[in-house]
Amino acid sequence: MVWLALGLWTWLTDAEPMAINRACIGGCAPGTAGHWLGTDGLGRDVWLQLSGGALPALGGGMLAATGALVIGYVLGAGAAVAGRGGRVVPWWWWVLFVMASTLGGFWWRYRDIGVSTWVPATAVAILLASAFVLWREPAFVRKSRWLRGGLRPDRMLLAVTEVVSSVPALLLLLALAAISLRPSLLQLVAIFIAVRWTGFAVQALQEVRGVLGAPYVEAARGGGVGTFRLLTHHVLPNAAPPLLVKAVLSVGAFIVVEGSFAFLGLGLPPDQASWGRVLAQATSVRGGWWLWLLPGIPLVGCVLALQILARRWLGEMRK
Amino acid sequence: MAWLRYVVRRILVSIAVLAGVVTLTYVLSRYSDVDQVEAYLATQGAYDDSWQLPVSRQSYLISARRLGADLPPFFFGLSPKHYPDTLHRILPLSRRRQAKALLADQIPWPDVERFQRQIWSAAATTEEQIDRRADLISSQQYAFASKLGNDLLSSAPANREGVRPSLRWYGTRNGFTHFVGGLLRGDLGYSLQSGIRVSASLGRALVVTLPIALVALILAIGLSMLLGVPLARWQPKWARAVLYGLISAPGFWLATVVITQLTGRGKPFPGPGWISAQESLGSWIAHATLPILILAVPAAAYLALILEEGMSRADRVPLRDFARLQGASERQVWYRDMLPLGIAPSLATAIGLLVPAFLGGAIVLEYIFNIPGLGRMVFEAILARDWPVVVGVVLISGVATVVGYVVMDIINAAIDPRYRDIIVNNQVRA
Repeated sequence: MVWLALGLWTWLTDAEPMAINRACIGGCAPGTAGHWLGTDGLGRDVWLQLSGGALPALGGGMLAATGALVIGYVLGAGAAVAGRGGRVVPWWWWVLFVMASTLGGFWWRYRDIGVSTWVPATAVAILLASAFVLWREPAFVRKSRWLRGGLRPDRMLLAVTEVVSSVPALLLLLALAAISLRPSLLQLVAIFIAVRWTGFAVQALQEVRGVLGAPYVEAARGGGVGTFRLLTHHVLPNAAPPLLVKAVLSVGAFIVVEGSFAFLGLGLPPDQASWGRVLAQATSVRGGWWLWLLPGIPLVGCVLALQILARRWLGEMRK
Repeated sequence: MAWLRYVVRRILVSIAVLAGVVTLTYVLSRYSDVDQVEAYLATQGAYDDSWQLPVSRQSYLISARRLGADLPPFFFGLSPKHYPDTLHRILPLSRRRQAKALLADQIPWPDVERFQRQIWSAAATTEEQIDRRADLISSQQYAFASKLGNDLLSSAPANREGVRPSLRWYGTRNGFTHFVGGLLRGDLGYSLQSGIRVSASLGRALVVTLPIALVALILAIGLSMLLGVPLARWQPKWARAVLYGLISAPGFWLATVVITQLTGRGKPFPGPGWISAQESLGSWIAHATLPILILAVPAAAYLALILEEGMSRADRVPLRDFARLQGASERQVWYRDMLPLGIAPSLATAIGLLVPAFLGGAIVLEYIFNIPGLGRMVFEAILARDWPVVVGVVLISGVATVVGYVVMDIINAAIDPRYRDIIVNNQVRA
């Protein structure tokens, strides 16, 4: 396992932001003379491409996995906590939330023109006020039957995640094309997060629910631990591990996704290295075995290493 | 009986989810900046050799109305106060874009309207001039270009105050109802590239992709059971490594390796291309085998691992000893009793995930193997910004995914009795 982790790190540290397009051997000159791993069809050195491609793939992967993890965890844990024991968030809060987000959306959309300040100010005020009312639960809310009924936040989250996850990876491509045909690394990361967060959210919901029902939480509560400390010191750290494993696997998924996009020609701009693009040349260069074998090593290797890492970790946790 | 009630509720929930998917796709389709009417007219052969659009305003309007380009976006909307109520009715679309750009400079609408009427009426006969005017979109640029523009600019307020929202009601006849109505009728619009009805091309592409996906799915499930049960039973060390390797290999890499090594002249499989099964079954098998295998084998490995996990979890329950005591052979125990227990918690969800995964993986595979199926169609449509086609494919895959989930839940509940308890108690699906 240590060896596999080492392999990972080698690729990371190998990332040199060097220019790839060496005009030295113009045209198709495949051969291992001078270039240790050969060149692709356009004369770019394979080794440089492979090492340069490590940074966007792995770095972007870690960024994307972290982002999806954080967003999914926060939403899932929040939903689990807010909906524990069948607790309900009152309907008027949902209404106010929708109103606030509409105002916020309006401000965001027309922010170039210059929106009156009262628009975003009202939105924020609504959110703060309703949060305050929810937190303190003043008497008039508790007593009035009319104001109390509502929807469970955990079920709402599940419904939302189901809608979002029903549309498969195609949505990735869609969003991609909607923005720009050749997205930057950050845009790729953003799209990946937007699609992957649902998996984290659903799992976070389950885990936090499980932890909340555990005896040690009850014991801590009985011992007089405050709510905030209870959350940060007891609940969240204990619910986190399976999600971290998922995050590791997501890094692998990002590598594959970025590679696929580069392969299809939709990926990073041509002046940035990418493993997938080297692979794409394999069919066009006759007899170019090094073009599919060599990129395959980091591609498969990284994903494999991550998989093994994640699963070993999971196995240890299970015991 | 309780789970029958669950089934009904599940189906209702999925209908709600489908509604969400439809809304999502509608929102996406509204975002394109392509002039759909022009593209549609182009596919109908309206362009002449010099790529001008000698189409009269009248026919543009007729096509626009038919495509629903003059409909408001939704039942109601929130837009800045100084926008006109009928912004959505301005046609052609380039003129609408121009109006929006001018309004963004906070020029009052009456002035914008006057300006537009002046320049567009002068160009009513030559579409070429309309295009030129549409290039200049900011009032500053117009001021630079003409006296009319200068007058326009002078009517902009000296100090811009903040824009205020106003809620407008657009009525029941809007783009959303038009979209949904079209869906219910089976009309998904026309492809912007070819002018063919989207439903027709979707149908043709489905006929190609669906058999591949189905065969791959069945193969993956069967293979996973074949691999997973012995894996759980004997737990050989090397097996895991092999399976991990299989699931780590990205689809496009496998496909490239396979294509360069196994296809082409003098090699066992034919090169990229496609023969429909109706023409020749043998050729179809030859062409389809590799893509099916590439889809199915990593999926089978993944499912086998999950199956093995589920079964070792089931192994903690003393079911095995109990069944052995009753006289069943070891083999019988594994296949008859433990397999169902192992399937439910994780396998079914995994299968539910495979439907979107296969559709996604199909894109790359169809691109490499040159198969005229759903994946390649959506890929080309995205490159060409052919939104009606993309929207149609997204809808189909959304529907397929939701249906897949429901079917899997039902099968799950039927196989594993414990699952019914989970569902009835309304816990989260594993």
